[in-house]
Amino acid sequence: MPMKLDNTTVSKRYAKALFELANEQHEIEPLFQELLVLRQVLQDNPDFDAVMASSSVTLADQAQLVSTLKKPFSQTIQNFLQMLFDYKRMADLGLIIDEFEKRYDAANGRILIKAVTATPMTTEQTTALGQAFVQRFDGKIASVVNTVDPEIIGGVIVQVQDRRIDGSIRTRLNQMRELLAQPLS
Amino acid sequence: MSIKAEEISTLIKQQLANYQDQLKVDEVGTVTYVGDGIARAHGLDNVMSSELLQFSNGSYGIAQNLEVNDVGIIVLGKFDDIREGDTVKRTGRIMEVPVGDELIGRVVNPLGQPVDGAGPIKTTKTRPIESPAPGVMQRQSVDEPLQTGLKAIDALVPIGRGQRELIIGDRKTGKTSIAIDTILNQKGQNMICVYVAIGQKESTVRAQVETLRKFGALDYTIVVEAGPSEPAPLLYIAPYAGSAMGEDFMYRGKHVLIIFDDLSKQASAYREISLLLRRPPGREAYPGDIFYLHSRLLERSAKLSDALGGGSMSALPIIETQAGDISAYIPTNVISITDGQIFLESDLFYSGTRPAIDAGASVSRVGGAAQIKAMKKVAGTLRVDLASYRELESFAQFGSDLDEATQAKLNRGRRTVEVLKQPLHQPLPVEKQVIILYALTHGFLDSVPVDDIQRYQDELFANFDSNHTDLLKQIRDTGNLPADDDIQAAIKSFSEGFSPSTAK
Repeated sequence: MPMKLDNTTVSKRYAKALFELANEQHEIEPLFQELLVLRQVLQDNPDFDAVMASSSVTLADQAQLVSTLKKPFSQTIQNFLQMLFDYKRMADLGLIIDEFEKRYDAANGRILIKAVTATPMTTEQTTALGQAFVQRFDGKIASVVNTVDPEIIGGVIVQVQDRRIDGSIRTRLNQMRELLAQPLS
Repeated sequence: MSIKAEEISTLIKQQLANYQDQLKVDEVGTVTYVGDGIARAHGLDNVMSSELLQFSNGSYGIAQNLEVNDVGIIVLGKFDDIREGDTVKRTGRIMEVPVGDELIGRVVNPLGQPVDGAGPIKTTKTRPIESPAPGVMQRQSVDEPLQTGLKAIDALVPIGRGQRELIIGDRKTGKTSIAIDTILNQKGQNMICVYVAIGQKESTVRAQVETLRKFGALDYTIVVEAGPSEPAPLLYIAPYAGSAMGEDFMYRGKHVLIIFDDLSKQASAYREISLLLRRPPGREAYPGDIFYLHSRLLERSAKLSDALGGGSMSALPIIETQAGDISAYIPTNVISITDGQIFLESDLFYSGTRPAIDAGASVSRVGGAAQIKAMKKVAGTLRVDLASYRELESFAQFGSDLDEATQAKLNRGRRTVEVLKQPLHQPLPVEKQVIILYALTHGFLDSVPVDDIQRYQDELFANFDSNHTDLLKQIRDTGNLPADDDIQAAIKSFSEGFSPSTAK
């Protein structure tokens, strides 16, 4: 018997299927926008996952919730959500959207840039950062996600896929501290 | 001494001048699981097998399992403050330990950090813990003896420099004592010793270190210690780290003796890691590559060719058996890898035959070539004689009348066993071993009561030390036996003066 599939493997498969379907129907762009909305909804309602995972909520109530959730979306997404519910894969929805996004990025040359700053970035800064990274990573469009973490003091930590470029003041101070602690050779 | 603020400022300025503000591109992953000394991380798509990784808390890890979705990592050191979601970054290096002369006389952990509280170790070199073993053309056959100082080993199962000789036996049969005595006997023998203690009680290791210090053996010994309270990854890498430290000397043309005490515990640690990394369990729940774990380690011990400096690394791996079961998985593996084995038996140990070496089952496949000529002459048939005595002994217990030849054989056998006994931490130089074995094989001991053998031996040595230093020197320097007349005359004159104790 094969081992139980882990979430990542499962999400990749669902994302691939959905992406190929969207590709056949030439609906990638609208579908992706819908998924982004869906992700926002999930982020705004953290209780949703808990309710779907809970065994004390009856299946009928969960079905009710899913039908409310899917109502505003297109037929494809509605079918998709219903299938996830029927196959008990609702918990993986977030990961599936992430995987879909990766495929979308690869197909469109979009570069997802995660930037951590101490204070929120201005629009000019975002554009400039986006352009710089689009050039460097040979993409077409940039999508900058900015999170704020005052602990880094200043500068910016940028992560694109697995690459991380740490230009934060906190890291530089730490490096300086290590250097000072070393014995003089 | 007054503190000069200006001087300090200058120093700090100097150091800061070296500080270059540069952005580094790191490849990072996200920790998805951590516990029991291992972690899993998502991402790190380009990581290489066995690459060193750094966690955000400063701990290091080694990439072990490269899978589609994540990477299995063994954590070296603290893992309790690594959290899910932390980043882990590639270093592009593989694990290395500091090596060099500075380590001698120190007690270090498998990462090469001092644990003896004697200050930092200022090494200048490092070496990867995993490195390929010398190839066929880089080796030569073993031809120099490694004297253990134990009569029973040097006479029956001689060890050569570059050999791998397994020490195997149940718990409490004196395995570690043999190893420690061997280290003690390397004083002045141009040998560097590395004692790798894996999963041994810290109190025991402390006692061993004190023994080494007391006998002045710490001047040429490195102790690598991974205690039972350390996480399994450290126990797993300890012998490799010790080998790396030894190899540095070997490739510089020196002679090294490395002791792995013991490899059963390392195998258990590796089993633990493998199961946690979800590798399929095989026989006795060990993973599929458990043989390779030990074979790649022991292959690194070698006698190098003269072109490479002729250095050597001899290994004495130790394996603990359960109730004398040498057909268990790990013992059979290591027996087949090594160039011979020394079996220790609990029955012999408790009956007072110490070292409790089972002469019948112990062998040395290559050491005979390294034995000095004199020893070869006196000990040639000793092993066979001893085995046939053990056989006769069980016969004789029936108490039937025995013919004279058999009586004589039993008589000689009892004395052989007595001669091969040796107290703890009293290694004997090879020339004295030759003298007493000569006396034994030429029948000088046959008339000495068994209870007096030890005293006879001690007095014989004292006699030779004061009256026949020339004979001892000749054996030591030429490796050959002196003329039969000289040595017989010397032993004879002593035997005539020897008075057996009246108490029988």
